[in-house]
Amino acid sequence: MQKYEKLEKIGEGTYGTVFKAKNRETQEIVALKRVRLDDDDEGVPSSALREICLLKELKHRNIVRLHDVLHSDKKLTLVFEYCDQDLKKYFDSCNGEIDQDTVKSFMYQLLRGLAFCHSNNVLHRDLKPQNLLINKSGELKLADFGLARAFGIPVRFYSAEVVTLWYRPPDVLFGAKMYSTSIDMWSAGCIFAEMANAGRPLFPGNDVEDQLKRIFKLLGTPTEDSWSNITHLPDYKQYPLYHVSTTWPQVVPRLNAKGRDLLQRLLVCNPSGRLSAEEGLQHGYFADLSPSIKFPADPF
Amino acid sequence: MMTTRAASANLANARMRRDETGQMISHLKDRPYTSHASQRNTLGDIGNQVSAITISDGPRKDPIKKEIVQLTSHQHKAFTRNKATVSLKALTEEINLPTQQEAANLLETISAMPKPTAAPVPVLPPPVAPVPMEVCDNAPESFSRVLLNVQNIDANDKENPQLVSEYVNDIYDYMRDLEVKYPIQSNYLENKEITGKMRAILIDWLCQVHHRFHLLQETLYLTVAIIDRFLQEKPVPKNKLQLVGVTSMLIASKYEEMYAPEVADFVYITDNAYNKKEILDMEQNILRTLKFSFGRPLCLHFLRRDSKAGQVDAVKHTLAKYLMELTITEYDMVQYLPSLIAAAALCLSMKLLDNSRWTETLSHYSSYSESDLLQTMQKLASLVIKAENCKLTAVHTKYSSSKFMKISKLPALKLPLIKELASACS
Repeated sequence: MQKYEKLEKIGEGTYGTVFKAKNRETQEIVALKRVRLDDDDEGVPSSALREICLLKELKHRNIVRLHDVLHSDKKLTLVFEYCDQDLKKYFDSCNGEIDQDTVKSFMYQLLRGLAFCHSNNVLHRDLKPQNLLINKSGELKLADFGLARAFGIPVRFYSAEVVTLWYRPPDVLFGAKMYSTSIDMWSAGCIFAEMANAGRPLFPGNDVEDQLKRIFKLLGTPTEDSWSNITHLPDYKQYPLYHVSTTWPQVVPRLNAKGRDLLQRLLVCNPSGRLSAEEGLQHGYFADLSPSIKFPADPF
Repeated sequence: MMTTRAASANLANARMRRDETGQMISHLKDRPYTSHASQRNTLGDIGNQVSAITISDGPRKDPIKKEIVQLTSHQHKAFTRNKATVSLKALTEEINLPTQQEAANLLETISAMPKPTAAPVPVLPPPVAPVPMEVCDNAPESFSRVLLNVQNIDANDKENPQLVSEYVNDIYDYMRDLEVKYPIQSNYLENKEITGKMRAILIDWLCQVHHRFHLLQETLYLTVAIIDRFLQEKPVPKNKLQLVGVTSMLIASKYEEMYAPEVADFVYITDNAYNKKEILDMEQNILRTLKFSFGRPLCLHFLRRDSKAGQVDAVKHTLAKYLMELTITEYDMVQYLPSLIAAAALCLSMKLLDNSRWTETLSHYSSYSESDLLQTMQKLASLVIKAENCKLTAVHTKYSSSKFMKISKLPALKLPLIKELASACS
């Protein structure tokens, strides 16, 4: 790799190692994601193929920019814009304190990036703090589209093996293969609560059953009345009808009333009742958001 | 309905042979050998053919059994290996469920049907939030629709997330941008070794492979788009055309399918005409040449929208699908925009079945007026006639099965209107 000088390893993506690197000509710092191609393998992994294809079309300030793809016989290197940290690391540096204006700004940017994905028929399907990048100017960018896919309308069956457990919506936890943009909205809700609590995950389940129990303890166990056909989901199991004892101010003590309202509209077990990203952007919680974040000079 | 097992057994039928000179020849079991002779001459050494598709409604009879018994050890190995691959695994796992394709068909049919007669769609309760959401400001209503005599076809879809009513118009606007962004040039094979006829034979064969692998409709259309976009950039010699074909299908499967067939499946389906390394090298070549851009929308996407706008029934929708699929082997239609093919196919289907009107709502959502569609409809009509006597039968045969409502055998396809339209074409 002549063009870039590798500086350090940053992490592991869905399907490859990520390095920080410097463009030798321009001195620009970039992130390189390397995918090995073995001869006895199946060629370019579908995750890489989709990520590249989708990111080439998704050009938006709240979506990580794919600058280039370097293709050699043995490996594929994706050249991304570099961001200083991801939201997870940002939380680590917070020491339990987070400015609620920052939460609002991040949440708005998350929804704006998502609205762009969804209106360009792309589902992310793996939203979590590790996949949200934060740069020095406080911009948030959706990254790691390794599980993302383009969808047609009506949205058809897709894999139920998507989204990291803690951020996976109840319908998908019950094995639903018919999901839609609402899949990302649940994750966005979980991340919103986590941000408001300076990095304490909302539903840190150990397995599918524990995950669903944690969700139902907070939101109440859904029934056919609140969610028709829930019992027909592939992996549906009956759960105890939990009595909801925790109030939202207890769950997210530092989030204001409007923020709690937005959160409740995202964390709806029945996917058809979940707020969309576009609706989320219109929510009153963002009424007093700084215009420089709301209306950037260059939205792309 | 063809069972999964019968379909798997048919896979064994997908054999191709080479003669001593290494030339691929068609190996036909249930058709007179001579019927393809002229094709083979045209083909030169790419004439690699699977025997014609047979789809039976009832249980399979003798011929299939014989074919299974006659498997050579090599075939058997390949066959069992095939059975173990993910694409087939996905099917067997869902043995009690409709196959992906059937489910997709069902979904399409449901979405295309007019609201009052739609299959039971779960009635969902309104969103649980007790009070109306406080919003920052009221987004202005789109007024273009108000001005015209156009129905809002998404008005009642809010409760069904699968219909993505909030984004659907944005998404279709975006798709219309994309189809123009990735054009296919007319006559792109001019002065090249590959001819339109070879392209047709390749795609007819791929249509059969697609059917045997139980892949999604999207995958077939995407395969064809990849082939055309690649060949217009990088012409290949005749002996690499089939390699481009199967590799394009591999890429399309990786993009569209939940479980793509393995590279080994594609090696097998070409009867080892190419090895794994050649397919993987071609994959890199295609990905690089097309710069990983596979987002070009398919006519299938547009048809679904048009069928909804027209509130057409399943027969009209399926007939339109058949008309669209007849175009994929047509070299002189490569430059037609997917949205145009979809709208013309639906318009012709409606004319043939009950002469219903191309409404303003249809013009609005398809972006084509009826007069915009005339020339393409004439072309489609000529394909209907051609399909009756053409030697490339994959699409016609596929749509003669009950799974596709025996649509290619519909009496409406013999109406004088077809001849009338087609005559303007020649």
